[in-house]
Amino acid sequence: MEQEQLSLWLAVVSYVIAGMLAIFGVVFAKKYEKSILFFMLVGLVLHAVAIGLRWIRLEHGPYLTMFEILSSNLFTLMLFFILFYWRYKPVRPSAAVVLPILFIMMAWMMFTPHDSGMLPASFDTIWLWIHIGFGKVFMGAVLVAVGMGGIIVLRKYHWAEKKFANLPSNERLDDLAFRFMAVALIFDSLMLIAGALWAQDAWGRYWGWDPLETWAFITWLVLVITLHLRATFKLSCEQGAYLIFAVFILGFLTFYGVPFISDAPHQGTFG
Amino acid sequence: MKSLSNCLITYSASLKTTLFLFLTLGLGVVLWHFTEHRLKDWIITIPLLLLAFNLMVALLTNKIFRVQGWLLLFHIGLLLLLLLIGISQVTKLIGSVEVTQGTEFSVSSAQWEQGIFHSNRLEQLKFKLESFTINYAPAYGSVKRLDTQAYVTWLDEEGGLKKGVVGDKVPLEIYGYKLYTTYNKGFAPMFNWYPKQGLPISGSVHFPAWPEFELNQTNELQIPGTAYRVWLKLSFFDPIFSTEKPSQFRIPQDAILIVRVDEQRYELKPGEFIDFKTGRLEFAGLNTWMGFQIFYDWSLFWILGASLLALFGLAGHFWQKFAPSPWLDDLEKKKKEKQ
Repeated sequence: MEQEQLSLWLAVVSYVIAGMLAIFGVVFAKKYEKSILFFMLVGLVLHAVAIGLRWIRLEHGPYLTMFEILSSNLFTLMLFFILFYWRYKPVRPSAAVVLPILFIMMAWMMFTPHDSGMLPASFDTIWLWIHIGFGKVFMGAVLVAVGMGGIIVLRKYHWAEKKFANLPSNERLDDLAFRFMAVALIFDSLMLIAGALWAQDAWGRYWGWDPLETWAFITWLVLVITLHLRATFKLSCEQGAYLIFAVFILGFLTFYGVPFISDAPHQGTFG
Repeated sequence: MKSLSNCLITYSASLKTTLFLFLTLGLGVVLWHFTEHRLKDWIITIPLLLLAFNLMVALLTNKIFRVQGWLLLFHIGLLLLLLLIGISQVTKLIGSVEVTQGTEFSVSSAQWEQGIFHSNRLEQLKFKLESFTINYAPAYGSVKRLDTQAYVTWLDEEGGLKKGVVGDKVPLEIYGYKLYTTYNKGFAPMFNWYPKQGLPISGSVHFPAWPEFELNQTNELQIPGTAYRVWLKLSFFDPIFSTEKPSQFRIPQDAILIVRVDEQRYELKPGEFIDFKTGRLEFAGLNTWMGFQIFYDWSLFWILGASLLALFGLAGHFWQKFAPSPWLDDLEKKKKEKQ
């Protein structure tokens, strides 16, 4: 238990150092890219150890309590962003936008009770893994798009325009963002399909409009509207960025808010 | 006249119309949650119907679908999905039933909602819940539910007697109806009513689900053929679950049935009875019941197929659009062009 906590705290410290370096790098026009990647990777390894130790102790994966969901999502979002950071060198300064967003999740996670939950029988299925896995890729892809959108919006301000001057043009960032939004749509759709298969098995209905299903559908619909608008109307890069933020906020609230304020079966059934 | 029809087609297939309908659908979904009106399903159904129409007209008239095969596949998949969901809504059945252990399924105790074109065959379902087990394990000072197994016998469509075990993710399937076990279960006192005139009648009363309504184990019994209505309460101290070792849902050993008839209170153990002017009510013993979810939807497989077809088309469309010009290569090319 202590090792688990220590690993988690050290992981968060590493992530925060990476985030601070990303912000300083942009503000003071310094190249800390290798250090940022190093601290993100160290954080990820320590985070994996913390999750692994908890998994062994509780004998189930990190998907039951708010703490576990925040922790596992933070882990996968970090993993997704690290891969992006490693591959897309020209847009690495987007870490200064993305990592502070993850700081919110980190703070929330650390202040959330680390209690354990009980695993309902309905969670004992491969579809849970598939459903959650697709959901994590969806959020990871939207997070990267948010990074691009964040730069586009920040560039409106004179001080930030200079800081991000070396990055590709807004049009190029917008193009990259929407490529990731396309990936997000595919994985969000897969998440809904896998979820429906799970629900049919677990509760005898593939779709029941429970609050989480409703908000997941609304998130999907807003994502579709965003891509539809981008494909058919001449949206400005800034308008596109705001739509990306809307999808991210809705996805965030659906993932981390709705399951914990509703009594729907998604929360698990403990009878 | 021709221009009017052209105008109608243009509007019907318009992408602006699609956008408007998306927004209407989103709003409808939100409103659906805040209304209890009996026609509330229509606030989702109407935008979906209009979207299907919009999509169909677009598929027939928009030239882009003739040149972009993947996009065509995606939209055909979507249209099929919408049509199948529509057909499913008018042909499916969703319901629930509580079955007492050791007794047969009775359609009279089932509750359901069915589409207008559903050909109801619930009367033909013949199955008996022989017994069931629900295992629990100790977990962090409490217990957690493990597997559920219901032992059932049923008559198949050819009239053959079948025996099997269903539970959790394995439903009982008869005549296309899927019967899923649920976490709903509880206690059921069994009664024999011996009227002074006529034949004895046996039956049971289901107490609310346990442990969900642990503190409200009460119900009422209307004695058949009489005006007597008696109030029942189950009382026991035997802990059903153990927080230290594996346990099963079971009948408590010290259960007492408290019966109130008007102002008179009785405490009955199995085999004990109450005499009324018109007959004798015997408490035959305590049993258990299990809740089943009833589901019928022939279109499930096809809905899944249409969803995957649409997604395959969408993935193909994006691949065709983005793969020939990877973003990093594109960026490099643009840089060189600038230089």
